[in-house]
Amino acid sequence: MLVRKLKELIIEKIIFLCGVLSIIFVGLIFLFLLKEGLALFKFISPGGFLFGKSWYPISEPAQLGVLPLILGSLIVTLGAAVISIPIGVGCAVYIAEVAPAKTKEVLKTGIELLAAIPSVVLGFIGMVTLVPWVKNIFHLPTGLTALSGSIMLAFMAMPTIVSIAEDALYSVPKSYKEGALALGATRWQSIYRVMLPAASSGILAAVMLGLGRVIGETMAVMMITGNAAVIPQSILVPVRTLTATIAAEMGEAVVGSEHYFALFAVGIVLFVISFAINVTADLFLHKKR
Amino acid sequence: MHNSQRTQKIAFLFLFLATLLIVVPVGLIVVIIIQKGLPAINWQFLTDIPRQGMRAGGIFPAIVGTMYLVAGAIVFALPIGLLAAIYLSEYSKDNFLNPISIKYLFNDLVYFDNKSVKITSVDNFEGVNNRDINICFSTIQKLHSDLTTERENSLTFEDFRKHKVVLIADEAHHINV
Repeated sequence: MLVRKLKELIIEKIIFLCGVLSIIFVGLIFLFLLKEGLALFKFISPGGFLFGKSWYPISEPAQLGVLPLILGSLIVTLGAAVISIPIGVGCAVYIAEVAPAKTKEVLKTGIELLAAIPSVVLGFIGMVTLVPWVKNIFHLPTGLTALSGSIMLAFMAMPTIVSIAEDALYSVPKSYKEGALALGATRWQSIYRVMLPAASSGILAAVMLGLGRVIGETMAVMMITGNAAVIPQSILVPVRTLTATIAAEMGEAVVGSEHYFALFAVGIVLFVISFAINVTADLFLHKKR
Repeated sequence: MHNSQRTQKIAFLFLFLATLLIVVPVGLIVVIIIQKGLPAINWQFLTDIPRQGMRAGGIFPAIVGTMYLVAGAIVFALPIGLLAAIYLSEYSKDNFLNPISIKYLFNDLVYFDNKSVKITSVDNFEGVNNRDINICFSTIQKLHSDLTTERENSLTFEDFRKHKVVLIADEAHHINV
């Protein structure tokens, strides 16, 4: 009797430990990031880091202004948002409301396929197809631009946007749509005036999660955005994103140097941005209830 | 009427085009990968090591490396992930008691006759509040030991005699034990 109780207790504790372990790991990662990143501010001021206009980490003395990188990330993300939001939401509406049942299955499979393509593969497909195409159309010296990155990243955000927005549309009570149709609305009117507003918080969450994926994406942007750490004047110039900077330079940075700490500080900036996006998405997701 | 029908047609056309804009590139990507990659794949490519400074031979070491990585990740992730999932679904009282939990099972505020009803956790039925929904969490093991070895603040047979109780159980066939 006692043995069984003890066994139950031990198992319960182990299971509890596993339950909190993932949270502990996240906490530890965050602490490590904070510890290494904040060490940078012994060398330069936070203002100089966040608003410094040049990123030359290995010049002497090192210039560690992260503004070009933040703007690079933002312009690529913004471009991806402009492309992926209308297409993604439109596709979600088509799949959820318009497409016949058989087409729906085919389309869903296609979109899952897109989600299953590894980002590095998307990156090199973009490099051999999209980049020359952008170069020729806009008569540019190089096709490795923010625009190419935006288009490629839009394709990475779309599966997330489509599947979550589609779920949001499905979870609108049937009676809403039936009511609209019974009052004589066409199917489009019922979608536009009733379904979309009713699912709006879910759709916003879908958009936010899609963008969260975009801003954290590393491999594909590193391959096709050109990686020039200058403040972008238009969408047709090479940019360098926060993620690509960390990935490209961490291997070369001397451990314990200014450069090394600066890369962790870049990590903190990135973490803050994507955390803000995810929290916003979560707020929208739970607003409904 | 005619006008709104036409608007619908145009709108649906645009929705269809948006869908095509996603699905066609996906198809193209798959075709490009297969078209360019398939001719290079043969038995030697998959099973040989790189030779002549990666200009000949195969990718076997990379395949094995990937396998090791995946196996290692599973070894760590599976037990912890599985047990964490069990914890969240089986043991976590948050599902019932904490309205901010992602897996909270009820509406934020439960109403009966326009009166808000709280959901509280109790250890025995003496402490119940008639205005609340009171849940006593237990396990089959715990219930059994509580009923057979009487202690302060634990369930007794008396509790079940005096109060109307709804039993909700997972794996309910064990209750007969």
